[in-house]
Amino acid sequence: MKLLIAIIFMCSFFSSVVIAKKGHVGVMYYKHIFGNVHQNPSRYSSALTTISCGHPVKIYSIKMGNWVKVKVGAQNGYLPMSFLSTKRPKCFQDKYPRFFDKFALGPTDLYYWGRLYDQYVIGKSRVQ
Amino acid sequence: MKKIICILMVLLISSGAAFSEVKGLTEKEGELLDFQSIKSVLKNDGLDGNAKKKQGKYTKAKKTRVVKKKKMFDIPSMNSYWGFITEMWLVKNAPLVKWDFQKPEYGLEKSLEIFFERMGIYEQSFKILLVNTPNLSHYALPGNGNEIIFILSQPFIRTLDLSKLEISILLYEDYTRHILGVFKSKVQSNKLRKVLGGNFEGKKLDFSIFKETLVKYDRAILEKGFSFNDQFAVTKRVGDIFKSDMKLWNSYLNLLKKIDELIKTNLLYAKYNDIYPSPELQIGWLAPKRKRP
Repeated sequence: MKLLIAIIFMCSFFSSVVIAKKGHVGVMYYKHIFGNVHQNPSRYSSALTTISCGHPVKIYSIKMGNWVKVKVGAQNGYLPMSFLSTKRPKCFQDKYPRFFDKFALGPTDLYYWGRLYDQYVIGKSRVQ
Repeated sequence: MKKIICILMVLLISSGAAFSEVKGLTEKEGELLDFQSIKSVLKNDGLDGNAKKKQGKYTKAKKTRVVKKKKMFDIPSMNSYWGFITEMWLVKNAPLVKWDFQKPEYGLEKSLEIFFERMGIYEQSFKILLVNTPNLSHYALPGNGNEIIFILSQPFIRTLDLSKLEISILLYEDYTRHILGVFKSKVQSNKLRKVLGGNFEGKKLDFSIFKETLVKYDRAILEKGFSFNDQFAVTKRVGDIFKSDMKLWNSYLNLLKKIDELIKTNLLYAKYNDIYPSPELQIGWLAPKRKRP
């Protein structure tokens, strides 16, 4: 009887671990104007899809340095943690929608805008 | 018997008709009720207040909707415009500027942060974009708020074999140029200044103003560059700041000498003088003048 209980307990424990690994732990929002979701945790890895500011992404618990595994639509990929925000950001395209529309950006422009944020080296000097 | 039934029927029908007539009259009376007399009762019920509240809510919602609709036609203010248009220029000129390439982690952000703090520049946000072309050696472009977007040519820093300190000095010179507002003065028009921060709901927006900014970016970054006056002001300012630290001052002078030598010997950088005239003159402006006996 004790053995049976132990087996059931072990099974339930491992299944919960598997569920935790498969499931997402929360939702965050992309905070730059455009960005690319990468196949691997590297800014030079191929882009799976381009997302715009304020896009919600599901966050997995898997982290690799500054990179975090995310789910965007049907795609599973990676984004830098520093590009995500817990609150919905105030985006340029939401603040000035008609002005932004006038530029009539194409898919290539959006992709390159995402790439731009992959290529930037970002810094800030400290507070005095 | 039949007669009796008939009489009863007639009586029943006539009484029914009389009753219906009476009901009609009371209904009519009801319609003609004097509401003035029950106005005070209605007031006590708070119906008037409720109606006013509802009206207020409706007016407020209508106002919010109108404001929201108007806000959709807002034009960005100076603070948000520059970062957007700079990135737009970079995106549109990606094949020309060649910033989309694989590069090693140089750790430039750390060295520049330290340098800025050493110079007393705190809370300065910046982005560095390395480019893989000799046509655009270094440049500072305006970002959002107080942010600066530095462009730095990897072939340029490799050919000159610049140290992190020299790169920081070079970027500091660009920073000074940016702070003096030299670049903005070249790409900003009066029309643009008037339009920024406005709203174009119900008006026709002259979009050529913004396209013109991009053309001016092209001209300033790739063709015309800066004038002798601009360069003199920048060199003097950087020189004056560095004078208190001879190590920095010497590094700046050596950097200018390196660049001067490069542009005189390497054809790839022959255009440098058109953008930044000229390292040779800058050295002259910096070096202390000898007094004639």
